[in-house]
Parts: sequence; structure tokens; C-alpha cells
Amino acid sequence: MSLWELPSRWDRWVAFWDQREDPLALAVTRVCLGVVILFDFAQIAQLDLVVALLGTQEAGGLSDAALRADRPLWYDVFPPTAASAWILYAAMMATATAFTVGFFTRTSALLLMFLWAQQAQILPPSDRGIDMLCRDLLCIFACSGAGLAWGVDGAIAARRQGSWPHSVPAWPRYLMIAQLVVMYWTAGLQKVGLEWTPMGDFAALYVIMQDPAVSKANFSWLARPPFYTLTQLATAVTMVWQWSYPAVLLLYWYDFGPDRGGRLRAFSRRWHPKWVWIGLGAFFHLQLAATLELGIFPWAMMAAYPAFFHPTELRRLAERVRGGRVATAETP
Amino acid sequence: MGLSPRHHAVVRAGCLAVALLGHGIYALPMPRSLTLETLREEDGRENVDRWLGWLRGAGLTLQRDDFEQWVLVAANTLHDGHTWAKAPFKPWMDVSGNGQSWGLFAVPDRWPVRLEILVWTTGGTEWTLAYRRLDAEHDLLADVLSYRRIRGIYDGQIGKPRAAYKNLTRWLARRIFATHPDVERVQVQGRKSHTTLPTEPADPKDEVVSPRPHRRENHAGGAP
Repeated sequence: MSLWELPSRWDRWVAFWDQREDPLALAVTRVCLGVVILFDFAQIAQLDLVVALLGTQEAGGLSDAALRADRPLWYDVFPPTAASAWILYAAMMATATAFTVGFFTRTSALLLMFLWAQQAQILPPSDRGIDMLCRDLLCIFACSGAGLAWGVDGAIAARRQGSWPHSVPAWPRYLMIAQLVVMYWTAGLQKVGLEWTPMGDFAALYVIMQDPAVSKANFSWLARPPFYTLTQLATAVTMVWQWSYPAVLLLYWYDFGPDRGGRLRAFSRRWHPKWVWIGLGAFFHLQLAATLELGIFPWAMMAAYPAFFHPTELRRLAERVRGGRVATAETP
Repeated sequence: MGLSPRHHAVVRAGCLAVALLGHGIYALPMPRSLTLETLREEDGRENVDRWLGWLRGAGLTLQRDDFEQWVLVAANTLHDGHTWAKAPFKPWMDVSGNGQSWGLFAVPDRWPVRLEILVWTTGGTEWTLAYRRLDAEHDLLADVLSYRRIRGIYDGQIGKPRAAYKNLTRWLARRIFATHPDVERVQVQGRKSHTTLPTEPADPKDEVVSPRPHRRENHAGGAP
């Protein structure tokens, strides 16, 4: 009996979260996110900001953590010295590296999340939305089998059992999809500035790109036609795209849920329109990376995108790329 | 004795229901708590103006004070209710650094502030511009100041200087004093302008905000 035919809603709920799948999509997401996190952490040391960002004022840092009533746990345990800041940094780097290579993946994800949360508490203004998203994803990874493919954990399991694990719980990937949908949708709902609406002339992206704190260059030329109109169009598309993002969940339901007929379901199964939303998201992030100085934001967001793929879709894609390469090589 | 696979699945489904409930409550797009002062700052005032204009266009004439009061009561009531609903999940969210607050450019800033650093060198007679955001000719510490975690400390904070911004200006001054022995004084400040739309008259306003001067002698012996 398929899970959709189970008698009660609770039984279907339990069976839905009990599904299993190939760990490939989770593993690819883990590696992509881990690389972005490592790059970001490495920048802290490269810019000589370890003590500045993780240390207290007494040690030459920017944080007043040692003086606050709600002192972070880290500085309850360790003295407010530069060495403590370096220990925290080293621990973050070590757990991020272990997470990326899939070594003690669950434990390293959990530890990295807690350590990163300490850094956020030490200097709250330095903690951005993307840091929180990464920690949300790490919390999910801490309960997943993401290390059982493309990772040391998988290699150890393969050595013990004779083959690489081919099945892990699928629910962590479902939660990641839900997390991305919630993020895009509620980001749209919270765009209350009138510049996001016709009453504000759909001027939001134009205004944001004039902000010297975030723009990568001087974009004053956008005031000239037809560029201003293009920014207005892009603002309107952004709003429609974010407000309608829950449609992605409905389209997943059509693609992978029960087969109950209907034109929309048939259309979705044939053309997979969910990729329009997901593809627009990738385009949007690439555009952000080119025009705004948002650090790892666009890259960390896109690092989570492999979770949108069912493992079989990912394998098919890889085969197509490989097949394409072979065909190209064989073409005289 | 361990749980049977069925019991394991039931426990997991129950835990996930609780986790989804908590994150769902956190994700509710509720307003922040507001004060009349916030609402009367430049950005807030412009937004209120536009809302009033739009409502007037729709045939609803409201007094500014009444509208502001209504916005304050609605926003603060919703915020308090949200805080109450989040309370059971807050300890975990705090310790794990998890959350669901995604206000990305929710209100575009029409009064942006551009960070500047001025230095006064030994024997000098005036301030010299050492850094200005997006100015390739004045780029002292540009790579540090454009790093997202450092930008978070001054972006949106300069106009209402908080402790972190003040610490940042002190830290920048010490870093410059340590690497530039000829610099006697450092001043970190913002330059506030008004972004107008192509359909609006240009506003030449250009105002220095939150200047934070530092003298070398006050930073002697301090950690860089």
C-alpha cells in the first residue's frame, strides 16, 4: 500500500517523514555549503579579523560581550583574551572542515552550529541573515545521512559493510526545500517598503542599488531610460516571484505526490514548472552577486539548491552532462 | 530495549511536527516593535507620507497623528503576540542561533550613509580623505570595510550610533595608528544623502553624520 492510501492523516504524516532515498542530493548540498562556509571563515583570518570579530574589547576586539549582562556562554567558560577568540575560530574552522569532508558529519554540523551561534552572540551586528540560514541548514544536516555519500563517513561505512550506503532518511532534504520556500516567501511578505509596490513606483531595486553601503559600483546611470524601467520591471518580477514561491511546494506535490489525475498535475509532471521558480532564484542570486556587495549570501543560497533535486534527477543530470561531454568529444 | 522501527518513525514524526510548529511561528511575518520616533525618522516619515497619499487617493482621508497611532498600536500588538507565541521555542533558537527572520531589504533605504575615514598627518594643516566607500582613489582598509561582517556593524547603524559602531571607529583608528606612524588623528564618519527617483526633483542634501574623532595619544598602548 502506498503511503497516500494509508487510512488516517497521522499514519500518512508518519509514513511521509519515514521515506528514504539515495544520499547523493544531501551530500552534494553538504559539500557546496561547506565550501562556501570555509571560504567565508578563511576570509576572517585573511583580513586579520579573528580577534576583531570573535574577541572582546579587552582583547582588542569589537565586542562588548564581557561587559554585557547576557554574556555569551563562550566567555563564561573562557577568559576574554585574544587566545580565546583564536580557539573559537580554530574550532569553527575544524568543524566546518570536518562537515565539508563528511567526517563525523552529524556531530561536526551540530558543533559548528553551536560555535557559530556563539560568534553571533559575541558580536550580533556582524551576524547576517545568511549566517542564520546556514545554521538552520546545519541543524537539519545534524540529523541527516549527508555524510554517507561523498564523505569520509560513507567511506568508513563502505569499508565495514562492503558497499556505500544507498539509502538514508529523505526528510532532511524535504525540510531544506521547505526552509528555502519559507525564506523566499516570507522575505516577499516582509517587503513592506512602498518602493516594492506600484505606489512606490516599483523603485526598490533602483533605490537599493544607489545605496553605497551595499552596491558594488556607482549605479547612478540606472536613472536613465530604459534602465530605470528595467529596474522597475525587475522589482515587480521579484515581488511576484517571492509572493508566489509556495507554488513550488504545490508543484512538488504534483510531481511526487499521489497520482490523482487532473490537468495541472499532468502539466506539472510533463513540464516540471517548479524549475521556473528555482531557475529564477539562481538568476536572481547571480545578479545580486554581480551588483551588490553581500558577501557569501548569493553563493550560500545557491549552495543549498542541490536539495531541490531528487537524487534520481541529480544522477540523470550528471549522466546527461557526462553523455554530452562524450558526444562532444566524439564529434569530429 | 530500543524502539521498534514503527515507534521510531512515530517519535520522529512527532518531533518534526513540533519543530515545524516552532519554526512556523518564528516565520510569521510580523512587524517589529515601533516607536513614534522611528516612525518620524526620514525613512519612516516618507513611508507614512506615501501611505497617506495612497489612502487619500483611494478615498480615505486620515489625520497623520491618527494614522501613526493606528500603525503603532497594530504593529506593537502583533509584535507582542508574536513574542508570546515564540517564547516556548526561544531557548533552543537562542542557543542554536536558528531563526526565521528574513526581512531582506524589506524597506529600501532612501537615506543611505556612505562611510568615510579622514586622517590628520604629522605637520598637516587639514583633514585628508583616506577612505570613502566606492572610491578607488581613497581605499584605505577597503577590503576590511567591505567584508560583510564588518559592513553589518556600520551599515544602518551610523545614523543612530550604537556601541558596536563606536567600538568599530576606535578599532579602525587603532589599526591605522599601528600601521601609519605619520597619522596623528583619525575621524570616522558617515555622509548621508537622499536617494530620489528619476521622476522626483534631485535633493542635493549631503550631511556628515556621527563623526567619531580619535587622537593617537588616547590610543597609546591599546590593542590594535
